[in-house]
Amino acid sequence: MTQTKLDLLQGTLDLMVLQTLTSMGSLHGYGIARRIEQVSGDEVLLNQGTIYASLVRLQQRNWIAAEWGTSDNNRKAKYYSITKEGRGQLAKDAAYWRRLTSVMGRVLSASAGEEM
Amino acid sequence: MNLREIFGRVSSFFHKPERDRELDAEMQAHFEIAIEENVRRGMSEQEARRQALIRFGGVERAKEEQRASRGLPWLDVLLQDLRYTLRTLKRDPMFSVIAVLILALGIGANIAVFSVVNAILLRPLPFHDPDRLMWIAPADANGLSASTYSADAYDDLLTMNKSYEDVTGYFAFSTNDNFKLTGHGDPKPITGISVTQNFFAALGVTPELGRSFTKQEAIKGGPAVVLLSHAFWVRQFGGDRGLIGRSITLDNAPVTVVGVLPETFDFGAVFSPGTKVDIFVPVVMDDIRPWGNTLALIGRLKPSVSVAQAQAEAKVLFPKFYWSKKYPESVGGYTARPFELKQYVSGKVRRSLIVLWCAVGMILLIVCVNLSNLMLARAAARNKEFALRSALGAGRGRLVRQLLTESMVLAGMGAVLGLALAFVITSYLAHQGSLALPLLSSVRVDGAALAWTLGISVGAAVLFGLLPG
Repeated sequence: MTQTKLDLLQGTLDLMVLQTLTSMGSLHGYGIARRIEQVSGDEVLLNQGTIYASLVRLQQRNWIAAEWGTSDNNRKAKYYSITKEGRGQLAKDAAYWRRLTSVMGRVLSASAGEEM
Repeated sequence: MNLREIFGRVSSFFHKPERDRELDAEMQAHFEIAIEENVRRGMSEQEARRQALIRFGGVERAKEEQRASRGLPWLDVLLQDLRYTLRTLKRDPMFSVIAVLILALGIGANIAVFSVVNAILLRPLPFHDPDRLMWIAPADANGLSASTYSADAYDDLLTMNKSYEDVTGYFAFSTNDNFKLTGHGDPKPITGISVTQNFFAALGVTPELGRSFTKQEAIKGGPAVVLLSHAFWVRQFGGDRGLIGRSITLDNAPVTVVGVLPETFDFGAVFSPGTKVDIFVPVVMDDIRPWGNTLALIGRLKPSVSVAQAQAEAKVLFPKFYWSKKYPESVGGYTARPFELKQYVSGKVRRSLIVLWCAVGMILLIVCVNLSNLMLARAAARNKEFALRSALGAGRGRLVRQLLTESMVLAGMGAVLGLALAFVITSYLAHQGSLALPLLSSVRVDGAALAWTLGISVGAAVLFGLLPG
Protein backbone atom coordinates (compact mmCIF):
# COMPACT_ATOMS: atom_id res chain seq x y z
CA MET A 1 0.00 0.00 0.00
CA THR A 2 1.53 3.31 -1.05
CA GLN A 3 -1.08 5.41 0.73
CA THR A 4 -0.12 6.79 4.16
CA LYS A 5 -2.00 5.34 7.11
CA LEU A 6 -5.06 7.12 8.56
CA ASP A 7 -4.65 9.28 11.63
CA LEU A 8 -7.21 8.35 14.26
CA LEU A 9 -9.80 11.03 14.95
CA GLN A 10 -10.46 12.07 18.53
CA GLY A 11 -12.65 9.49 20.21
CA THR A 12 -12.51 6.89 17.48
CA LEU A 13 -10.05 4.67 19.34
CA ASP A 14 -12.42 4.41 22.31
CA LEU A 15 -15.18 3.32 19.96
CA MET A 16 -12.94 0.73 18.30
CA VAL A 17 -11.96 -0.70 21.66
CA LEU A 18 -15.60 -1.02 22.73
CA GLN A 19 -16.52 -2.69 19.44
CA THR A 20 -13.56 -5.07 19.64
CA LEU A 21 -14.48 -6.15 23.16
CA THR A 22 -18.10 -6.68 22.09
CA SER A 23 -17.16 -9.00 19.27
CA MET A 24 -14.21 -10.76 20.95
CA GLY A 25 -15.29 -10.97 24.58
CA SER A 26 -12.49 -10.73 27.14
CA LEU A 27 -9.11 -9.60 25.76
CA HIS A 28 -5.81 -8.15 26.96
CA GLY A 29 -4.29 -4.85 25.77
CA TYR A 30 -2.03 -6.40 23.15
CA GLY A 31 -4.88 -8.54 21.84
CA ILE A 32 -7.15 -5.51 21.46
CA ALA A 33 -4.45 -3.56 19.63
CA ARG A 34 -3.68 -6.48 17.28
CA ARG A 35 -7.35 -7.05 16.58
CA ILE A 36 -7.90 -3.40 15.65
CA GLU A 37 -4.88 -3.49 13.37
CA GLN A 38 -6.13 -6.65 11.67
CA VAL A 39 -9.75 -5.57 11.28
CA SER A 40 -8.73 -2.22 9.84
CA GLY A 41 -6.50 -3.97 7.38
CA ASP A 42 -3.48 -2.18 8.82
CA GLU A 43 -4.86 1.09 7.52
CA VAL A 44 -4.91 3.02 10.79
CA LEU A 45 -1.82 4.52 12.29
CA LEU A 46 -1.87 2.98 15.75
CA ASN A 47 1.00 2.95 18.16
CA GLN A 48 -0.04 0.02 20.31
CA GLY A 49 1.01 1.89 23.46
CA THR A 50 -1.70 4.50 23.01
CA ILE A 51 -4.32 1.84 23.66
CA TYR A 52 -3.60 2.04 27.39
CA ALA A 53 -4.74 5.66 27.72
CA SER A 54 -7.98 4.66 26.08
CA LEU A 55 -8.38 1.56 28.26
CA VAL A 56 -7.94 3.40 31.54
CA ARG A 57 -10.34 6.13 30.44
CA LEU A 58 -13.03 3.62 29.48
CA GLN A 59 -12.46 1.72 32.69
CA GLN A 60 -12.90 4.83 34.84
CA ARG A 61 -16.11 5.60 33.00
CA ASN A 62 -17.20 2.08 33.89
CA TRP A 63 -17.75 1.16 30.27
CA ILE A 64 -15.26 -1.71 30.47
CA ALA A 65 -14.09 -3.88 33.37
CA ALA A 66 -10.57 -5.21 33.95
CA GLU A 67 -9.27 -8.31 35.68
CA TRP A 68 -5.87 -9.99 35.90
CA GLY A 69 -5.90 -13.42 34.31
CA THR A 70 -3.66 -15.98 32.66
CA SER A 71 -3.12 -16.28 28.92
CA ASP A 72 -3.09 -19.50 26.84
CA ASN A 73 0.70 -19.64 27.24
CA ASN A 74 0.46 -19.22 30.98
CA ARG A 75 1.33 -15.54 31.08
CA LYS A 76 -0.28 -13.15 33.55
CA ALA A 77 -2.08 -10.32 31.72
CA LYS A 78 -4.85 -7.85 32.39
CA TYR A 79 -8.03 -8.83 30.62
CA TYR A 80 -10.71 -6.36 29.65
CA SER A 81 -14.38 -6.98 28.96
CA ILE A 82 -17.24 -4.66 28.08
CA THR A 83 -19.88 -3.79 30.70
CA LYS A 84 -23.59 -3.29 30.27
CA GLU A 85 -23.10 0.47 30.37
CA GLY A 86 -20.34 0.10 27.79
CA ARG A 87 -22.72 -1.69 25.42
CA GLY A 88 -25.21 1.15 25.77
CA GLN A 89 -22.50 3.70 25.06
CA LEU A 90 -21.26 1.71 22.08
CA ALA A 91 -24.76 1.64 20.56
CA LYS A 92 -25.06 5.39 20.99
CA ASP A 93 -21.60 6.22 19.62
CA ALA A 94 -21.88 3.77 16.72
CA ALA A 95 -25.20 5.30 15.67
CA TYR A 96 -23.61 8.73 15.83
CA TRP A 97 -20.68 7.67 13.64
CA ARG A 98 -22.95 6.02 11.10
CA ARG A 99 -24.98 9.21 10.82
CA LEU A 100 -21.87 11.34 10.57
CA THR A 101 -20.24 9.19 7.91
CA SER A 102 -23.40 8.97 5.86
CA VAL A 103 -23.85 12.74 6.00
CA MET A 104 -20.21 13.30 5.12
CA GLY A 105 -20.54 10.86 2.26
CA ARG A 106 -23.63 12.64 0.94
CA VAL A 107 -22.04 16.06 1.22
CA LEU A 108 -18.83 15.00 -0.47
CA SER A 109 -20.58 13.23 -3.34
CA ALA A 110 -23.23 15.96 -3.80
CA SER A 111 -20.73 18.52 -5.10
CA ALA A 112 -19.74 16.18 -7.92
CA GLY A 113 -23.08 14.57 -8.86
CA GLU A 114 -25.75 17.19 -8.34
CA GLU A 115 -24.29 20.37 -9.68
CA MET A 116 -26.96 22.82 -10.83
CA MET B 1 -17.03 14.19 32.62
CA ASN B 2 -19.45 12.33 34.85
CA LEU B 3 -19.21 11.92 38.59
CA ARG B 4 -17.72 8.44 38.44
CA GLU B 5 -14.96 9.53 36.14
CA ILE B 6 -14.09 12.45 38.41
CA PHE B 7 -13.99 10.03 41.32
CA GLY B 8 -11.78 7.69 39.31
CA ARG B 9 -9.41 10.50 38.39
CA VAL B 10 -9.13 11.75 41.97
CA SER B 11 -8.56 8.22 43.22
CA SER B 12 -5.85 7.67 40.59
CA PHE B 13 -4.26 10.93 41.64
CA PHE B 14 -3.83 9.63 45.17
CA HIS B 15 -2.66 6.15 44.17
CA LYS B 16 0.06 6.99 41.68
CA PRO B 17 2.70 4.39 42.64
CA GLU B 18 0.20 1.50 42.58
CA ARG B 19 -1.32 2.58 39.29
CA ASP B 20 2.16 3.01 37.79
CA ARG B 21 3.26 -0.41 38.97
CA GLU B 22 0.14 -1.96 37.54
CA LEU B 23 0.68 -0.19 34.21
CA ASP B 24 4.31 -1.36 34.13
CA ALA B 25 3.21 -4.95 34.72
CA GLU B 26 0.58 -4.63 32.04
CA MET B 27 3.05 -3.27 29.48
CA GLN B 28 5.57 -5.91 30.47
CA ALA B 29 2.99 -8.58 29.69
CA HIS B 30 2.20 -6.79 26.43
CA PHE B 31 5.83 -7.08 25.28
CA GLU B 32 6.20 -10.70 26.36
CA ILE B 33 3.08 -11.76 24.51
CA ALA B 34 4.05 -9.73 21.44
CA ILE B 35 7.61 -11.15 21.32
CA GLU B 36 6.35 -14.67 21.78
CA GLU B 37 3.93 -14.24 18.90
CA ASN B 38 6.63 -12.77 16.67
CA VAL B 39 9.00 -15.66 17.44
CA ARG B 40 6.25 -18.12 16.59
CA ARG B 41 5.93 -16.40 13.23
CA GLY B 42 9.58 -17.22 12.61
CA MET B 43 11.50 -14.15 13.68
CA SER B 44 14.73 -14.34 15.61
CA GLU B 45 14.49 -13.38 19.28
CA GLN B 46 16.22 -10.07 18.59
CA GLU B 47 14.07 -9.17 15.59
CA ALA B 48 10.92 -10.16 17.51
CA ARG B 49 11.80 -7.72 20.29
CA ARG B 50 12.65 -4.96 17.80
CA GLN B 51 9.34 -5.36 15.97
CA ALA B 52 7.38 -5.40 19.22
CA LEU B 53 9.03 -2.13 20.30
CA ILE B 54 8.35 -0.51 16.93
CA ARG B 55 4.70 -1.46 16.98
CA PHE B 56 4.31 -0.25 20.53
CA GLY B 57 5.64 3.26 19.88
CA GLY B 58 7.23 5.45 22.56
CA VAL B 59 6.98 3.69 25.93
CA GLU B 60 7.35 6.81 28.06
CA ARG B 61 4.94 8.69 25.87
CA ALA B 62 2.36 5.93 26.20
CA LYS B 63 2.79 6.03 29.98
CA GLU B 64 2.40 9.80 30.05
CA GLU B 65 -0.75 9.57 27.97
CA GLN B 66 -2.16 6.92 30.23
CA ARG B 67 -1.39 9.01 33.34
CA ALA B 68 -2.98 12.08 31.77
CA SER B 69 -6.18 10.26 30.94
CA ARG B 70 -6.54 8.53 34.29
CA GLY B 71 -5.51 11.29 36.75
CA LEU B 72 -5.48 15.07 37.22
CA PRO B 73 -2.66 16.29 34.97
CA TRP B 74 -3.16 20.00 35.74
CA LEU B 75 -2.86 19.30 39.45
CA ASP B 76 0.30 17.26 38.86
CA VAL B 77 1.82 20.17 36.99
CA LEU B 78 0.76 22.59 39.71
CA LEU B 79 2.30 20.47 42.47
CA GLN B 80 5.46 20.07 40.44
CA ASP B 81 5.66 23.85 39.98
CA LEU B 82 4.98 24.45 43.67
CA ARG B 83 7.71 22.08 44.77
CA TYR B 84 10.11 23.68 42.35
CA THR B 85 9.10 27.16 43.48
CA LEU B 86 9.70 26.35 47.12
CA ARG B 87 13.13 24.98 46.28
CA THR B 88 13.96 28.11 44.27
CA LEU B 89 12.80 30.42 47.05
CA LYS B 90 14.75 28.48 49.63
CA ARG B 91 17.89 28.81 47.55
CA ASP B 92 17.60 32.62 47.71
CA PRO B 93 16.23 33.29 51.21
CA MET B 94 17.07 37.01 51.31
CA PHE B 95 15.07 37.68 48.20
CA SER B 96 12.16 35.60 49.45
CA VAL B 97 11.99 37.22 52.87
CA ILE B 98 12.20 40.75 51.49
CA ALA B 99 9.63 40.06 48.81
CA VAL B 100 7.17 38.53 51.28
CA LEU B 101 7.68 41.33 53.81
CA ILE B 102 7.11 44.24 51.45
CA LEU B 103 4.15 42.44 49.93
CA ALA B 104 2.73 41.87 53.40
CA LEU B 105 3.03 45.58 54.17
CA GLY B 106 1.39 46.60 50.92
CA ILE B 107 -1.40 44.07 51.11
CA GLY B 108 -1.93 44.53 54.87
CA ALA B 109 -2.36 48.30 54.48
CA ASN B 110 -4.81 47.70 51.68
CA ILE B 111 -6.93 45.27 53.67
CA ALA B 112 -6.98 47.51 56.73
CA VAL B 113 -8.11 50.55 54.75
CA PHE B 114 -10.57 48.44 52.80
CA SER B 115 -12.09 47.22 56.07
CA VAL B 116 -12.62 50.81 57.20
CA VAL B 117 -14.02 51.82 53.82
CA ASN B 118 -16.25 48.78 53.87
CA ALA B 119 -17.63 49.57 57.31
CA ILE B 120 -18.20 53.26 56.64
CA LEU B 121 -18.97 53.55 52.95
CA LEU B 122 -20.05 50.18 51.64
CA ARG B 123 -21.89 48.28 54.36
CA PRO B 124 -25.50 49.35 55.04
CA LEU B 125 -26.34 51.07 58.33
CA PRO B 126 -27.23 48.67 61.14
CA PHE B 127 -30.96 49.50 60.95
CA HIS B 128 -33.98 47.89 59.38
CA ASP B 129 -34.26 48.83 55.69
CA PRO B 130 -31.66 51.62 56.05
CA ASP B 131 -32.05 52.79 52.43
CA ARG B 132 -35.39 54.38 53.29
CA LEU B 133 -34.02 56.52 56.12
CA MET B 134 -33.57 60.21 55.37
CA TRP B 135 -31.58 62.85 57.18
CA ILE B 136 -33.73 65.97 57.21
CA ALA B 137 -31.72 69.19 57.22
CA PRO B 138 -31.45 72.44 55.25
CA ALA B 139 -29.50 72.21 52.02
CA ASP B 140 -26.68 74.40 53.31
CA ALA B 141 -26.60 72.88 56.79
CA ASN B 142 -23.23 73.10 58.32
CA GLY B 143 -22.96 72.13 61.94
CA LEU B 144 -25.75 70.86 64.13
CA SER B 145 -27.32 74.16 65.22
CA ALA B 146 -28.07 74.98 61.59
CA SER B 147 -29.62 71.58 60.93
CA THR B 148 -32.05 71.30 63.83
CA TYR B 149 -35.73 72.17 64.10
CA SER B 150 -38.07 73.31 66.83
CA ALA B 151 -40.64 71.11 68.56
CA ASP B 152 -43.46 73.01 66.83
CA ALA B 153 -41.88 72.44 63.44
CA TYR B 154 -41.50 68.74 64.24
CA ASP B 155 -45.16 68.41 65.24
CA ASP B 156 -46.28 70.13 62.04
CA LEU B 157 -44.00 67.98 59.89
CA LEU B 158 -45.37 64.86 61.53
CA THR B 159 -48.99 65.80 60.79
CA MET B 160 -48.63 67.54 57.42
CA ASN B 161 -46.12 65.42 55.46
CA LYS B 162 -47.17 62.86 52.86
CA SER B 163 -43.72 61.37 52.18
CA TYR B 164 -42.81 59.60 55.41
CA GLU B 165 -44.04 56.55 57.21
CA ASP B 166 -42.65 58.09 60.35
CA VAL B 167 -40.51 61.04 61.37
CA THR B 168 -38.35 60.89 64.43
CA GLY B 169 -35.64 62.95 66.04
CA TYR B 170 -33.25 63.30 68.89
CA PHE B 171 -32.22 66.17 71.13
CA ALA B 172 -29.06 67.31 69.39
CA PHE B 173 -27.41 69.27 72.16
CA SER B 174 -26.71 66.70 74.84
CA THR B 175 -23.25 66.81 76.31
CA ASN B 176 -21.16 63.95 77.60
CA ASP B 177 -21.78 62.89 81.21
CA ASN B 178 -25.03 64.85 81.41
CA PHE B 179 -26.67 62.45 83.89
CA LYS B 180 -25.63 61.34 87.34
CA LEU B 181 -26.26 57.77 88.41
CA THR B 182 -26.46 57.18 92.17
CA GLY B 183 -27.34 54.23 94.36
CA HIS B 184 -24.66 51.98 92.89
CA GLY B 185 -21.56 52.87 94.84
CA ASP B 186 -20.05 56.26 94.08
CA PRO B 187 -22.14 58.71 92.05
CA LYS B 188 -21.23 58.14 88.45
CA PRO B 189 -21.52 60.48 85.47
CA ILE B 190 -23.17 58.86 82.46
CA THR B 191 -24.14 60.04 79.00
CA GLY B 192 -27.76 60.10 77.92
CA ILE B 193 -29.59 61.19 74.80
CA SER B 194 -33.21 62.32 74.65
CA VAL B 195 -35.02 60.85 71.68
CA THR B 196 -38.59 61.23 70.46
CA GLN B 197 -40.93 58.54 71.67
CA ASN B 198 -41.01 56.75 68.27
CA PHE B 199 -37.22 56.84 67.72
CA PHE B 200 -36.47 53.12 67.90
CA ALA B 201 -39.61 52.07 66.07
CA ALA B 202 -38.83 54.46 63.21
CA LEU B 203 -35.26 53.18 62.85
CA GLY B 204 -36.47 49.62 63.10
CA VAL B 205 -34.54 48.81 66.26
CA THR B 206 -36.27 46.41 68.66
CA PRO B 207 -35.08 46.38 72.27
CA GLU B 208 -33.23 43.20 73.18
CA LEU B 209 -35.12 43.12 76.49
CA GLY B 210 -38.28 44.92 77.59
CA ARG B 211 -39.90 47.50 75.35
CA SER B 212 -39.51 50.92 73.81
CA PHE B 213 -41.18 54.15 75.06
CA THR B 214 -44.95 54.62 75.12
CA LYS B 215 -46.85 57.81 74.25
CA GLN B 216 -47.68 58.45 77.93
CA GLU B 217 -44.01 58.48 78.81
CA ALA B 218 -43.38 61.35 76.39
CA ILE B 219 -45.93 63.79 77.86
CA LYS B 220 -45.17 66.26 80.60
CA GLY B 221 -45.71 64.64 83.97
CA GLY B 222 -45.72 61.14 82.53
CA PRO B 223 -43.82 58.25 84.15
CA ALA B 224 -40.03 58.65 84.14
CA VAL B 225 -38.46 55.83 82.15
CA VAL B 226 -35.11 54.95 80.61
CA LEU B 227 -33.69 52.52 78.04
CA LEU B 228 -30.15 51.26 78.52
CA SER B 229 -27.54 50.61 75.86
CA HIS B 230 -26.34 47.02 75.79
CA ALA B 231 -22.76 47.96 76.69
CA PHE B 232 -23.85 50.07 79.68
CA TRP B 233 -26.24 47.37 80.92
CA VAL B 234 -23.44 44.82 80.90
CA ARG B 235 -20.82 47.18 82.34
CA GLN B 236 -22.91 48.71 85.10
CA PHE B 237 -25.43 46.02 85.94
CA GLY B 238 -23.60 42.87 84.93
CA GLY B 239 -26.25 42.06 82.35
CA ASP B 240 -28.93 41.52 85.02
CA ARG B 241 -32.16 40.50 83.27
CA GLY B 242 -34.17 41.24 86.40
CA LEU B 243 -33.43 44.94 86.03
CA ILE B 244 -36.31 45.50 83.61
CA GLY B 245 -39.22 47.15 85.42
CA ARG B 246 -37.09 48.15 88.42
CA SER B 247 -36.01 51.71 89.03
CA ILE B 248 -32.59 53.30 89.18
CA THR B 249 -31.69 56.73 90.46
CA LEU B 250 -30.77 59.35 87.88
CA ASP B 251 -30.08 62.94 88.98
CA ASN B 252 -31.56 62.04 92.38
CA ALA B 253 -34.91 60.89 90.99
CA PRO B 254 -36.18 57.34 90.50
CA VAL B 255 -36.48 56.27 86.87
CA THR B 256 -37.88 52.94 85.67
CA VAL B 257 -35.77 50.82 83.33
CA VAL B 258 -38.15 49.67 80.58
CA GLY B 259 -35.70 47.96 78.29
CA VAL B 260 -32.23 47.23 76.99
CA LEU B 261 -31.21 47.95 73.40
CA PRO B 262 -29.53 45.31 71.24
CA GLU B 263 -25.75 45.11 71.08
CA THR B 264 -25.79 46.05 67.40
CA PHE B 265 -27.34 49.44 68.10
CA ASP B 266 -24.63 52.00 68.68
CA PHE B 267 -26.04 55.53 68.64
CA GLY B 268 -22.68 57.23 68.88
CA ALA B 269 -21.18 55.26 66.02
CA VAL B 270 -23.86 56.48 63.62
CA PHE B 271 -24.91 59.92 64.80
CA SER B 272 -22.08 61.29 66.83
CA PRO B 273 -18.77 59.54 66.23
CA GLY B 274 -16.50 59.30 69.21
CA THR B 275 -19.16 59.31 71.91
CA LYS B 276 -20.50 56.41 73.92
CA VAL B 277 -24.15 56.80 74.81
CA ASP B 278 -25.23 54.92 77.94
CA ILE B 279 -28.93 55.66 78.29
CA PHE B 280 -31.88 56.95 76.29
CA VAL B 281 -34.81 58.92 77.70
CA PRO B 282 -37.92 60.14 75.90
CA VAL B 283 -38.05 63.77 74.83
CA VAL B 284 -40.95 65.59 76.47
CA MET B 285 -42.03 67.95 73.70
CA ASP B 286 -43.58 70.53 75.97
CA ASP B 287 -40.30 70.83 77.86
CA ILE B 288 -38.23 71.67 74.83
CA ARG B 289 -40.88 73.76 73.04
CA PRO B 290 -39.56 77.09 74.34
CA TRP B 291 -35.93 76.19 73.60
CA GLY B 292 -36.05 76.69 69.85
CA ASN B 293 -34.16 74.53 67.38
CA THR B 294 -33.08 71.48 69.29
CA LEU B 295 -34.21 68.41 67.31
CA ALA B 296 -32.21 66.63 64.64
CA LEU B 297 -34.71 64.90 62.36
CA ILE B 298 -34.74 61.54 60.61
CA GLY B 299 -37.60 60.31 58.43
CA ARG B 300 -38.46 56.91 57.05
CA LEU B 301 -39.77 57.21 53.49
CA LYS B 302 -42.94 55.44 52.45
CA PRO B 303 -42.15 52.59 50.04
CA SER B 304 -43.70 54.42 47.08
CA VAL B 305 -41.97 57.76 47.66
CA SER B 306 -38.66 58.60 46.01
CA VAL B 307 -35.94 60.82 47.42
CA ALA B 308 -36.69 63.45 44.77
CA GLN B 309 -40.37 63.47 45.72
CA ALA B 310 -39.52 63.93 49.38
CA GLN B 311 -37.21 66.80 48.48
CA ALA B 312 -39.87 68.45 46.34
CA GLU B 313 -42.38 68.16 49.15
CA ALA B 314 -39.92 69.57 51.68
CA LYS B 315 -39.39 72.63 49.51
CA VAL B 316 -43.03 73.70 49.80
CA LEU B 317 -43.77 72.27 53.23
CA PHE B 318 -40.96 73.54 55.45
CA PRO B 319 -41.56 77.30 54.89
CA LYS B 320 -45.01 76.79 56.48
CA PHE B 321 -43.50 75.77 59.84
CA TYR B 322 -43.20 77.99 62.92
CA TRP B 323 -40.13 78.43 65.06
CA SER B 324 -42.71 78.81 67.82
CA LYS B 325 -46.44 79.09 67.44
CA LYS B 326 -46.47 81.64 70.25
CA TYR B 327 -44.93 84.05 67.79
CA PRO B 328 -46.97 84.00 64.57
CA GLU B 329 -44.33 86.10 62.84
CA SER B 330 -41.78 83.27 63.32
CA VAL B 331 -43.27 81.35 60.39
CA GLY B 332 -41.26 80.84 57.23
CA GLY B 333 -37.77 80.53 58.62
CA TYR B 334 -37.25 76.88 57.69
CA THR B 335 -36.05 75.05 54.62
CA ALA B 336 -35.04 71.41 54.21
CA ARG B 337 -33.47 69.14 51.65
CA PRO B 338 -33.69 65.56 52.92
CA PHE B 339 -31.06 63.05 51.75
CA GLU B 340 -30.04 59.50 52.60
CA LEU B 341 -28.97 59.00 56.19
CA LYS B 342 -26.12 56.78 55.03
CA GLN B 343 -24.77 59.65 53.01
CA TYR B 344 -25.01 61.94 56.02
CA VAL B 345 -23.15 59.46 58.20
CA SER B 346 -20.34 58.76 55.76
CA GLY B 347 -20.44 62.09 53.96
CA LYS B 348 -17.99 63.95 56.13
CA VAL B 349 -15.24 61.36 55.81
CA ARG B 350 -16.10 60.05 52.36
CA ARG B 351 -13.58 62.10 50.45
CA SER B 352 -10.67 61.54 52.84
CA LEU B 353 -11.38 57.82 52.91
CA ILE B 354 -11.38 57.55 49.15
CA VAL B 355 -8.12 59.48 49.02
CA LEU B 356 -6.67 57.14 51.62
CA TRP B 357 -7.92 54.14 49.67
CA CYS B 358 -6.25 55.40 46.52
CA ALA B 359 -3.08 56.12 48.47
CA VAL B 360 -2.73 52.55 49.75
CA GLY B 361 -3.55 51.32 46.27
CA MET B 362 -0.63 53.38 44.97
CA ILE B 363 1.58 51.94 47.68
CA LEU B 364 0.72 48.45 46.51
CA LEU B 365 1.47 49.48 42.95
CA ILE B 366 4.87 50.76 44.04
CA VAL B 367 5.46 47.49 45.89
CA CYS B 368 4.65 45.61 42.70
CA VAL B 369 6.99 47.74 40.62
CA ASN B 370 9.77 47.18 43.11
CA LEU B 371 9.17 43.46 43.15
CA SER B 372 9.12 43.50 39.38
CA ASN B 373 12.58 44.99 39.47
CA LEU B 374 13.78 42.32 41.85
CA MET B 375 12.28 39.64 39.65
CA LEU B 376 13.88 41.21 36.60
CA ALA B 377 17.28 41.11 38.23
CA ARG B 378 16.67 37.47 39.07
CA ALA B 379 15.41 36.68 35.60
CA ALA B 380 18.73 37.82 34.19
CA ALA B 381 20.48 35.42 36.54
CA ARG B 382 18.07 32.62 35.61
CA ASN B 383 18.48 32.95 31.87
CA LYS B 384 20.44 29.74 31.68
CA GLU B 385 17.81 27.85 33.60
CA PHE B 386 15.08 28.91 31.19
CA ALA B 387 17.25 28.15 28.19
CA LEU B 388 17.80 24.67 29.57
CA ARG B 389 14.13 24.15 30.30
CA SER B 390 13.04 25.18 26.84
CA ALA B 391 15.77 23.03 25.30
CA LEU B 392 14.28 20.10 27.23
CA GLY B 393 10.93 20.79 25.61
CA ALA B 394 9.12 23.23 27.91
CA GLY B 395 6.86 25.45 25.81
CA ARG B 396 6.51 29.17 26.35
CA GLY B 397 3.17 28.67 28.11
CA ARG B 398 4.74 26.16 30.46
CA LEU B 399 7.53 28.61 31.41
CA VAL B 400 5.03 31.43 31.97
CA ARG B 401 2.99 29.11 34.14
CA GLN B 402 6.07 28.30 36.20
CA LEU B 403 6.84 32.01 36.69
CA LEU B 404 3.24 32.73 37.56
CA THR B 405 3.22 29.96 40.14
CA GLU B 406 6.32 31.49 41.73
CA SER B 407 4.79 34.94 41.99
CA MET B 408 1.49 33.46 43.23
CA VAL B 409 3.34 31.68 46.02
CA LEU B 410 5.11 34.90 46.99
CA ALA B 411 1.88 36.90 46.83
CA GLY B 412 0.06 34.19 48.77
CA MET B 413 2.59 34.27 51.59
CA GLY B 414 2.50 38.07 51.53
CA ALA B 415 -1.29 37.98 51.69
CA VAL B 416 -1.36 35.66 54.69
CA LEU B 417 1.09 37.85 56.55
CA GLY B 418 -0.71 40.99 55.38
CA LEU B 419 -4.00 39.59 56.58
CA ALA B 420 -2.53 39.03 60.03
CA LEU B 421 -1.23 42.59 59.99
CA ALA B 422 -4.61 43.96 58.90
CA PHE B 423 -6.29 41.94 61.63
CA VAL B 424 -4.12 43.57 64.26
CA ILE B 425 -4.65 47.06 62.81
CA THR B 426 -8.43 46.74 62.51
CA SER B 427 -8.97 45.31 65.96
CA TYR B 428 -6.83 48.16 67.30
CA LEU B 429 -8.88 50.71 65.34
CA ALA B 430 -12.19 49.20 66.38
CA HIS B 431 -11.31 49.77 70.03
CA GLN B 432 -10.17 53.35 69.49
CA GLY B 433 -13.17 55.14 71.05
CA SER B 434 -11.46 58.51 70.80
CA LEU B 435 -11.21 58.43 67.01
CA ALA B 436 -14.16 60.37 65.65
CA LEU B 437 -14.92 58.03 62.75
CA PRO B 438 -18.51 56.82 62.33
CA LEU B 439 -19.26 53.09 62.67
CA LEU B 440 -15.68 52.51 63.77
CA SER B 441 -16.52 49.78 66.24
CA SER B 442 -17.92 47.68 63.41
CA VAL B 443 -14.62 47.78 61.53
CA ARG B 444 -13.34 44.24 61.14
CA VAL B 445 -11.77 41.90 58.63
CA ASP B 446 -14.75 40.08 57.17
CA GLY B 447 -15.66 38.05 54.10
CA ALA B 448 -15.67 41.09 51.87
CA ALA B 449 -12.20 42.00 53.09
CA LEU B 450 -11.02 38.45 52.42
CA ALA B 451 -12.37 38.62 48.89
CA TRP B 452 -10.61 41.95 48.48
CA THR B 453 -7.38 40.37 49.71
CA LEU B 454 -7.69 37.53 47.25
CA GLY B 455 -8.32 39.99 44.44
CA ILE B 456 -5.41 42.30 45.13
CA SER B 457 -2.98 39.44 45.82
CA VAL B 458 -3.76 37.74 42.53
CA GLY B 459 -3.61 41.11 40.79
CA ALA B 460 -0.28 41.89 42.41
CA ALA B 461 1.10 38.45 41.54
CA VAL B 462 0.18 38.79 37.88
CA LEU B 463 1.54 42.31 37.84
CA PHE B 464 4.95 41.63 39.30
CA GLY B 465 5.25 38.10 37.99
CA LEU B 466 4.53 38.66 34.34
CA LEU B 467 5.61 42.25 33.85
CA PRO B 468 9.33 41.43 33.80
CA GLY B 469 8.85 38.50 31.38
